[in-house]
Amino acid sequence: MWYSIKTVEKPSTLKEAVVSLKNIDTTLFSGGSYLVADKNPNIQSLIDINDLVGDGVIASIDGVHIDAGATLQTFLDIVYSINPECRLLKGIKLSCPSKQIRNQRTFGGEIGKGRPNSEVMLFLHAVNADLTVFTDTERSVSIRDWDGSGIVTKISYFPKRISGIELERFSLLESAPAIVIVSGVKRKNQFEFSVGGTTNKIQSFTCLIEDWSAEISKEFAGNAVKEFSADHLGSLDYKENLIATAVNRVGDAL
Amino acid sequence: MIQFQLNGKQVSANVRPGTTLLDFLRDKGYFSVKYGSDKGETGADTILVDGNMMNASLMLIHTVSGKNIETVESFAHGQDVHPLQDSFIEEGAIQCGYCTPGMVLAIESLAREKDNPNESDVKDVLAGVYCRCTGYVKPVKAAMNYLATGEPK
Repeated sequence: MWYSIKTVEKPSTLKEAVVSLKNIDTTLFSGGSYLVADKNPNIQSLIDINDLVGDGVIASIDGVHIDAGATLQTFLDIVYSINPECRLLKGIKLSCPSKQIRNQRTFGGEIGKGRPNSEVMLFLHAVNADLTVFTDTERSVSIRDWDGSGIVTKISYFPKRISGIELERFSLLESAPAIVIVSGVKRKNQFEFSVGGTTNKIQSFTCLIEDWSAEISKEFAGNAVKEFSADHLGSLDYKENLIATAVNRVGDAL
Repeated sequence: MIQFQLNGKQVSANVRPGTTLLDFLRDKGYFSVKYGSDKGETGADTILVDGNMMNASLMLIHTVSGKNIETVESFAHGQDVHPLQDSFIEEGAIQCGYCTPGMVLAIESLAREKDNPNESDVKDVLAGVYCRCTGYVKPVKAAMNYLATGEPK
C-alpha cells in the first residue's frame, strides 16, 4: 500500500499532464516499477500518462525509435529478432535480470529515474540518444543535454552515426548493480565515453582518436571520480583505478 | 471502481488509489501471491497480467483495469493439479514452497509465449524468482520435463 496517494489523475492530453505536474506533491506515473517500489510519502497525486504515450518500438538499420511507454521486454522481444548482437539488449538484461520487472519498466520511467548505475542509461548516453520531450510543445533534445524537465515521449538513436560501441562494467557479481560502468562509442574522428555506476550522475567525455592514450584515460578517471563517494564498495582511489581500467579497455576495444 | 478479470471471473474493486495489486489479492484470499519485498526483487509476488509475468507488489490497482489477471489458484482444482505442478512434485522441486507459485507462473508464461523454449529461456524467467531452499537445479529440470511434453495449460 502506498499510503500517501490520494488521487490518480488521468489527463486527456500531455498539456494537461504538464500543468498538473507543476504541483509539488505530484509525479508522473507510467510503468511504476520505480515509483511503487520507493513509495515516496511526499507524493500525494499520480499523473498516469500510460494512455498518452505510445508503447511501440521501431528498429531498423537507419534508426531505432522507442516510445516512452515501451517496456524493456518489448524492446528485447522486437530487437532480438532483428539484431541479436545489439549491445543494448545485453545492457537491459544486466540492468534488469528480472523478467517481471522488464515487463513493467518503461523506457520513459528509466530515463525519468535517471539511475546512474543503469546499463540502459549508459548505452543511451553512449549513443547520445535523441529525446522527444513535451513541455509546452514538443521538442527534441539530446539525452546528455536534457535537464529533466517535461515529459519524454520518444527516444531515438541512429546506429549509422556510430562505428563502434563498447561497454565495460565492474560489479561484485554479474547480477549485482555495477560499481563502475563505462560505455563508449567511436563517432567520426573521436571517442565518446560515458561513466556511471554508484555515482551521483552520468558524466560524458570525448577525445580525438589521434589523442587517445593511457594518460587520457587516467585524466578522465581523475575527473569522473569526483562524482563518486568512498563507501563499502571501495575507496576513491580504488574507484578511480576501476574507471581508468574500464575507459582503457573500452577505448582499446573501439 | 476498477474492473478486471481474475482467474477467469469478472471482479470489481473499490479501493484506495495507492492500493497495490498484492494488497488486494491477499485481502481477497489469494495467498499464493506472497510478499517478498517492496521492490520486486524476490518474485514471490509473481502473477500473470494478460499472460505476461509481473510483480503484484509493483502494480497499483488502477493500472489493471480491463486486464486479465491469473494467480496459481486457477491452476489446480482440489487434488487435480496442473501438469506443471505435477512435474514439480515428481521432481521434488519444492521445499518451503514460498517461491513455488511464482516459479510455476513464470514457467507457464514461457510455455505460452515461446515454442520449444530451451534451458536458457527457463533460467531467464526464473531469474526473477528467488529460491533460498532448493535452489534452481530441480525447478529447471521440472520445467524442462513439463515443456518437453508440449502440453501447456
